[in-house]
Amino acid sequence: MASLPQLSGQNVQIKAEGMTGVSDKQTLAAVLQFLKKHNLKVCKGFAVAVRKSNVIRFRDYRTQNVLLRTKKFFLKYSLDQEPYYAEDLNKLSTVTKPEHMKGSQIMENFKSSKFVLKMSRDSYTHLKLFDGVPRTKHQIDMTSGGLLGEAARDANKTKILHGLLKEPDINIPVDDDDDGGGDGEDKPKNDPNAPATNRIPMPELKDQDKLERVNAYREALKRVKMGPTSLPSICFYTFHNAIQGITGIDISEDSSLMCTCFGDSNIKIWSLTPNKLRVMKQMDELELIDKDADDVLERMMDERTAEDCKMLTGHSGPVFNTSFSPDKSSLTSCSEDGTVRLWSLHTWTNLVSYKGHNTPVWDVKFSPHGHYFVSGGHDRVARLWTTDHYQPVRIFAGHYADVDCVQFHPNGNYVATGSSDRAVRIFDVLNGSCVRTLTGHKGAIHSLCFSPDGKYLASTGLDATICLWDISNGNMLAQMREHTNTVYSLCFSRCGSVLASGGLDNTVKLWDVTKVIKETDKDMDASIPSSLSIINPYSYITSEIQCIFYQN
Amino acid sequence: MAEKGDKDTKMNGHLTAESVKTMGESIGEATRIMHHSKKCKLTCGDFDNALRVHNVEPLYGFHAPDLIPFRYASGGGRELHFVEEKELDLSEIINSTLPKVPLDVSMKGATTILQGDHRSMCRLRRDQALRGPPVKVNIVQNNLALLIYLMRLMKALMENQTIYLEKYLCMRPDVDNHWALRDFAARLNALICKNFHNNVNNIQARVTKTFSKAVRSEKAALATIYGALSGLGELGPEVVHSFVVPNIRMIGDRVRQAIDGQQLTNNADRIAAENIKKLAAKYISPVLKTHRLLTDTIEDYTAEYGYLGPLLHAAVGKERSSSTSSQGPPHKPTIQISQGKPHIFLGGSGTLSTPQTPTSARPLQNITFPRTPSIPGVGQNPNQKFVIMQQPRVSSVPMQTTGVGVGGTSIVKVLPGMHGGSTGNITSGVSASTITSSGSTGGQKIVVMSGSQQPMQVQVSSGGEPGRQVFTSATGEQISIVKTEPSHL
Repeated sequence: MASLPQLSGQNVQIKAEGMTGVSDKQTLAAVLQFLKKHNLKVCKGFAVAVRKSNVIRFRDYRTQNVLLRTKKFFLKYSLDQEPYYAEDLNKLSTVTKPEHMKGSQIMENFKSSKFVLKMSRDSYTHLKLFDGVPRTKHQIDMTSGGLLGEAARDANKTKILHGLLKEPDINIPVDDDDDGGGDGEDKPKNDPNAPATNRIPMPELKDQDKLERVNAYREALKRVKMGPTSLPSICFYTFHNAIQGITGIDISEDSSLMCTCFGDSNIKIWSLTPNKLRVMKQMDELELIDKDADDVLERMMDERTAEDCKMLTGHSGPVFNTSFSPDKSSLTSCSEDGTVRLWSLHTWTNLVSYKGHNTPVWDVKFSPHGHYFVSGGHDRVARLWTTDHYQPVRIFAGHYADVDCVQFHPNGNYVATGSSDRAVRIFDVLNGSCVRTLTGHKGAIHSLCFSPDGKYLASTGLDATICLWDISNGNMLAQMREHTNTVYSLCFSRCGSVLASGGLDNTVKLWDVTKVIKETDKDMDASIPSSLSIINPYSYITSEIQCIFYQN
Repeated sequence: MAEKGDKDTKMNGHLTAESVKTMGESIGEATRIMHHSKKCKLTCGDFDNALRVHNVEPLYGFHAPDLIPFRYASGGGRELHFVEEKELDLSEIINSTLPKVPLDVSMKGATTILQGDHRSMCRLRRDQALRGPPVKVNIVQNNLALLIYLMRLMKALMENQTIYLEKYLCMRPDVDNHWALRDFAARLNALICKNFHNNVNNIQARVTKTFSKAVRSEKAALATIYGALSGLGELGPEVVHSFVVPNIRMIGDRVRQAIDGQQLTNNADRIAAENIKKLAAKYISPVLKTHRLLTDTIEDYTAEYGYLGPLLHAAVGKERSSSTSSQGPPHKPTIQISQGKPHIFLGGSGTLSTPQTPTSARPLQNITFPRTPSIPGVGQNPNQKFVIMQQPRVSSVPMQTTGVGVGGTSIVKVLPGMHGGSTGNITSGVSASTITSSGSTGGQKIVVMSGSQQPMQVQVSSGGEPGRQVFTSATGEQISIVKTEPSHL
């Protein structure tokens, strides 16, 4: 008992530097024995400590260069680990020589950072420690899993302005038929959580944008509220003969265009409406057009080039993702070749090749207001770009492994990133600081989606679990575990009441989010909600599901 | 020497550790690329890309087919797994024809409708104008006037798409005259089934299932039963026979209850019951006519079909008498061979020994034709089926194929038989309801099938389509003749 480590601090942050020497090994053995004596099978926190010590061992042996003993140590303790650390341990297992430590990403992380672990109540009692919020094993299991443990206690204290931006004043002509139902939605104009419209400089609205806003607003009025009683119909798009492999799909906001990226470096854009895709006329022809004509936009397009599908060529490696700009005039794509490219959907050519990542770029997303876009890649950072600068305007650093997916907050002021270090982070675009660290996933994160009201964030990935987070405090609201394989796509319905998810298990699942939120408000113990219904689609890549607009 | 060996081991150890580490890292990287490509299978391409990430030039030209056949070899205490590489002749590669250009990527859309436990797949165009909800809304609001327009709209739209009507047809009973709507919907539904049924969507089976569920349902309103009966009736006599006939007794009970039952019945139910009775006479009696014996009495009918028995008996009787006098209605689900008309047969001296009464419930007595070796094709192989079609007004067609002078008979198609057998007789059924006419009026077809060891019954289910006739043999084979001449007398 006397040999228990004197760990101090509110979170047990074991500093690697603080535990060197042979005595550590003895301490570790003593603690293990002690815990066995007390039959603490649920001592989750300790297993992590052991794991951490594994790393310390390696560091010790760096000087001693005792290969065999390291291995023996590894085998002895690796069995005690939680299953989701297996991937890290596999990586560690290849590191057997001191020289290897220099190149290993994971070792560098452990050398430079602290492994944060929060212990269960029992562990606290027995280790004679005190922490402010004792939790059950279940709760700990819910939030553990990050490469470097859980989020630090003060990581999620910053206030997030998660409200939506004030809608710009557009004179929306209200139809006489509407009995003022639309006016009610406009009322809550002063959301205390909404950031000021000029907090981040936003591009000015063009006439065309205003027109589209009006259309979107009109359609929103006709929208039927979705819920368990009125489930959406799903439109599946099947791709035939895609031998090169489809690596990503994006659908424009008004679901008129679909973009597919291929493993053979090509991008194809399909029109989902009867409108064909046309190329803008040549310069000399454009000059002849009467600029005051009402249909000047129509006249600018060359009818002879009308096609259902256009191909964009330029990348030199698999294209992993694309994103349409909100006005559908441009498209960004990211590829294995380390570049992000901006394409014009008027001329169907490449405008800019953004170089900065230099290693594979996994994901790219346009801001909901246009102008900005964010990319994340193998270099463990996310970069914020603008369409008028060739260099990034922000670099969001903080992840310990690849940034696998990125997503803009609906108000454009925040960027969420998901990473292979099994954590989700939210960065502030204003100052580039990390304002939320959300841990709980047990695998790399492959998809993120904000609810339309900006209050919640859904995340999912390799662990086939969907987590729903409350952004205002960083709490996990629910874990939804029904999928059996990696989930690659998440999408909220326009009204925010249904969340659709789909992935490699060939199913699309629809989740009643309102029910989940209602249930979890009462009880913090995140229960597993039941999925509404399960259907088996034909294709394994599920595209995003848009709301259906009913025509009355 | 020992020292050198020691060194070798040491070097091996170094190399092993180094290569294990490099391989581990590269595989990890390749796995990550695989995940981002949304694949389940690691390919050589992924590994090449992983090497590029590590600034290593990938090894070009390696392809992995799905199965890599590793071969195993051992000897001298060593074990080795290797991939066998075949020697290729260069000239063969150069001279071989180029492989086909792979098809380009294409996209198709399909919609799945989710509604409780009701699931269906149908293919729809994206810009489709008509969706389900308006129909549903109007059903709920009992707006029949609008609904019938919507139905017409649907019919108009049906030209190029599939619409799934099931959930809209079984509606609540109303006091208005919705019977016409139900009849129209049933016909429309039958048309949809006919036009768009295929093995993928299986519309007809699903629609039939839904209808028969409604018919069998204890709770369904009488109007619903009417709708379902009407829907099934429109789908043809086969469907009626298998799905309606077994339920006649039950339907009869419901009708009786509504008409003279002890329970409180409202006016709507009574009207519905009367309509059902009319419908039953309309759709069921033609089927019963073919499946019941002529000698069956009212009592037999009552015993089997309950309340509706007498009604059906009367209807069947009426049907029979009318078909005798007028050569039968144009769409008979049975094969009829009329009395006193020339029969078409093969073989020199073949005669039909039993005159068939057109009202016979067992229409197909096996007609035996002595086979003559002069018939081409048949002579060599006794197990053959062939279809003989009569040409209109061609009297000069060579007669040698037939023994008797029936004008204009020719072999349309010769199908090899499925069964082995050495029977000397061709057992066949002669079909088509209007075969009764003489050769000169033309446009007749005869199907002669031979070779089966068991006598074949050929049934014609013309289903009212002039363009197509389907013959089903007793062995379950189906022959359909698509092209036919107008066959009205």
